[in-house]
Amino acid sequence: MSETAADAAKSALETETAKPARRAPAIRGADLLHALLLLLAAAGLGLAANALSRKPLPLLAADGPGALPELAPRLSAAELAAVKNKAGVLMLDVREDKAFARGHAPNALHAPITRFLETMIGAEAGARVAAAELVLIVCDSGTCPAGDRAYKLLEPFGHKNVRVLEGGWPADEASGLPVETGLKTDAAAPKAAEPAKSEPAPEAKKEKEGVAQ
Amino acid sequence: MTTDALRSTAASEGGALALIAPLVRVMLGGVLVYAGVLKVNGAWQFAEEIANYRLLPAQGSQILAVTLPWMEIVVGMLLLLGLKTRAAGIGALILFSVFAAAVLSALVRGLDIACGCFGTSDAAKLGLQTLALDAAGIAGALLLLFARPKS
Repeated sequence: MSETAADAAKSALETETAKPARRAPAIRGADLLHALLLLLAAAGLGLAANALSRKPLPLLAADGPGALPELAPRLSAAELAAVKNKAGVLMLDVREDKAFARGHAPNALHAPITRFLETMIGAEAGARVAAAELVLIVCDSGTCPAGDRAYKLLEPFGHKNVRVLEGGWPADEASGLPVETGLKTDAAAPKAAEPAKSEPAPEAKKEKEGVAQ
Repeated sequence: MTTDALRSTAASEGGALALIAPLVRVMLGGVLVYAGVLKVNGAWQFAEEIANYRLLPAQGSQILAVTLPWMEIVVGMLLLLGLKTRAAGIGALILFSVFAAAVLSALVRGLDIACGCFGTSDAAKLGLQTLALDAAGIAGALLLLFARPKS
């Protein structure tokens, strides 16, 4: 190779290495097309697997499992104070253990949404719901899809007066009514002003006794 | 400078990215396969979890519930095996971007719902940590696309 040709090759390589941004592979149209085809093929696999499964998901059913959760009737935070301490009102707390242990209404029935039915088929929990005049579902916040789900799951129990607390636990806590901390058994019988019985969560141990707000 | 030396210099450019790219590819693939496999047998429950995001009509949630897990599995497997990595990388980028948009939209609307990221076994609530996971997925996919040579 002549010296001139070698210089030209060197110069070309230097120019190339001086522009690393241009060398970095960008997303090309062909790559994007391949990716979309890949996703489409995978979607086809999913549809085929569903069609061949023993319990296929009804894809086009308007009332299938993908239907928007039915919104349960709400009880406003303003109405809460008036009903909360009345006999026959059962606070049904569907929050998870940690949140429940941080604070809950005295005598609340704890039935986390992740094990709701498991809790509700317990004889005492079922009896408490059946005996209540009003079941007030408490969840984490105002939108409360867990409350809507619990409302739906309570339907077979035949209770007529079930409401979801608007604003969830923050609204309950802000109402200034007594608050208990710690976990207690789901089926604990209601006894007014009795503190939580079962072992409290570690973070709530120090605050075992009731905290009035 | 000799041509060989120049080639060597060029090859070492972006060396750190090139070194971690295979690791990122395997991690991204592993997460996607894991998430997809956990969802694939729980389509009914997954459809409910998609519906909780309140973004799609029932049919959309149901179709997504049966197709999304397979998209994750196929894209994840390709990344794990190092096949069609550019297409799979773009696929991962699309998936994580869609997840991030859905999570962000739910957070903005104050929805307190389960993430559903890892199927029905995942009772974790949607939160900023979910958004961080999706952002990490997007960053990983971008790294793969810009650190790897064309294949």
